[in-house]
Amino acid sequence: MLNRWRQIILEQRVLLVLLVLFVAATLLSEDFLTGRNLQNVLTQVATDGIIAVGMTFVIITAGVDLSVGSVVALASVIAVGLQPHTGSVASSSLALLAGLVIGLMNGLLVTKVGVNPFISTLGMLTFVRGLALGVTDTRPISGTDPAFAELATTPVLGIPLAAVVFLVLLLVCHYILRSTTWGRGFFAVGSNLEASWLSGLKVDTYLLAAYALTSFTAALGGILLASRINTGSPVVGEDTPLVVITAVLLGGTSFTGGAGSLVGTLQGILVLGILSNGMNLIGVPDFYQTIVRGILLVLVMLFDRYYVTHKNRFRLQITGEA
Amino acid sequence: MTDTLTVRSDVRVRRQTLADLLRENVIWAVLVFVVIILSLASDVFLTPLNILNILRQISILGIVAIGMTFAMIGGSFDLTVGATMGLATVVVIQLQPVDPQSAAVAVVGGLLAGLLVGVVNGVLVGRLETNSVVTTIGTLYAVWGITLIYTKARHIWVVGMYPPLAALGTGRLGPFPLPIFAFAITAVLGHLALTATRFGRYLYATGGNSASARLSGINVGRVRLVSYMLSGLAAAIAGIVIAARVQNVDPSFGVGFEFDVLAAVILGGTSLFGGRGSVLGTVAGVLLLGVLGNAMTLMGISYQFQLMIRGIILVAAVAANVIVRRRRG
Repeated sequence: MLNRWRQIILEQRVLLVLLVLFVAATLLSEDFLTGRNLQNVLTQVATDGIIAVGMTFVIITAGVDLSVGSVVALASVIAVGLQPHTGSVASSSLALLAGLVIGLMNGLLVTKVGVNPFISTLGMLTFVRGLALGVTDTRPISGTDPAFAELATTPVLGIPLAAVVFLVLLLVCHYILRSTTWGRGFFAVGSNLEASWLSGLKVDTYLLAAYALTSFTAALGGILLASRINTGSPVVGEDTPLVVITAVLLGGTSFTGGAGSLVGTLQGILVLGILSNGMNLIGVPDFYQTIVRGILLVLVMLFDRYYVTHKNRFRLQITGEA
Repeated sequence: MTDTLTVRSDVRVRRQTLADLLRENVIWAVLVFVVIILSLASDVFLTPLNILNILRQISILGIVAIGMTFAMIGGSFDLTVGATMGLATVVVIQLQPVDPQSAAVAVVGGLLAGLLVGVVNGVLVGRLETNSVVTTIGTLYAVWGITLIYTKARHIWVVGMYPPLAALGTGRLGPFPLPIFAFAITAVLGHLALTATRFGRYLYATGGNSASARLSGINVGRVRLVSYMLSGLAAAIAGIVIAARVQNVDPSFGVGFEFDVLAAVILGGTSLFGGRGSVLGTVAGVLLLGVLGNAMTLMGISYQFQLMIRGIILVAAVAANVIVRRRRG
């Protein structure tokens, strides 16, 4: 019985952290548990949350995508910069297309050329950032379309559109990842690439899809961010990859691939969102959030390590490695 | 490099041919090639003034990159280096080094800050065996947060820095700016530590195959701990040189620098998975980045296009490496 409780606590640890944070924030600030503030939290986490959905796929395949922040900037610049010429719908579509193309390039570098994802997406990070700065001549662009400026915050059934997009995307992808043969393939590819290939999985297609999806979600996040601030800025999103990766790993997705879930990612992103919102409400300066986020990440890694050690003690003894 | 051969020189069966030498020093060959091209293309490039300028500009990147090379050879990432450098810079300036005593305290304080970050990383990754990428991203945040709290997130400066300390950043010995010497000394010491000490050989063994290194009696955790301490120390030295040079600092200084450093180390041929790499390679990687940056500036290419070209160079270099290796094996 005691063991079962322990098991549940260990497995639902992020949910527990989330609950503790939620209760603490409610107790410490009267403004936290209000409809308006919760809407705020949802809008704030939506951009990073959308990208975290894509990132979960990439990390499950044992990869990583560092270029998402630059894609956010490029998409915001395209979506806003082309407004006067093409209208918002076409400019946003072009931004999404740009995201897709960058994702495919990332995927091709990883699959066909064989460059380590850490490096290929690091190169892409630098390249796309340069591109975003280049096309705008390093200056932010103000939006000209009032409808676009309201897009992200338009309420749908009382929930801001950006949050709705996030939640719908999350649910659809969760279904794919959990309940379709195709979705299970991502786990197979991530836990053992060679075995997956030998059993006839189209390994390259899975990897391409994961990178394409991630950059696509980054572009989507960029458009919604641009709408929220009604600006296309070439310098936004510098810490997006770190925040998003933190959320995904916090949610229990393994950095070594083959394990993870989008429910976990949702919990991870909410933990970061509520932490930041709660600390803002009680007046803790921004920079304490930086330190808390860092310590949280280290604790998660330590915890995972401890937990893994218990699960795989036998294997550890044999190889001396995890 | 010749790391596997130097362990037991009697196992060497084949003499090195010129082709071998060239293949193992691709990055130096590329560097020489680029320098020749640029000298022909520009009158300004190969002038003593410009060369000294390049060397001074890259010395910071070089010092940090040599430190990171140690962590990488041991098979672990250190993405904290940029934040560590920023922290050391901030510590030196915040301690207001205006006289000999305060200058000594500031320098020691900066070095200790770097060592401490290295110890924390080393204990987490080396001893407790957490994933190095994520852990050092976490400590990056923590160190940055500490820097922000320490400075109250404000720009800080020192007026009337103790002249000998300031000279470390701004002074010259003959025609040579002093930061170049800091870089050169770090490189020589780093090279010796890797090639001529037991620790160096243990580090290659740990990075190459940590399980077999452990079975051969190497204290893998301690080797990694030391590699992180060296990485933190190098970042701190760079931070002190920067503090001496500019004497004022933004609290977010250094964050993001880790990616430039990583690019230089990887260009220099150090493996992402540990076990392979050298200080000489890293120095070449740093020089190549510096030379290309300088050439692009001379040609009047804007910062944003330099970024794009840098991204392409990084991916192309690694891709070429992968393709060559695939063809050979």
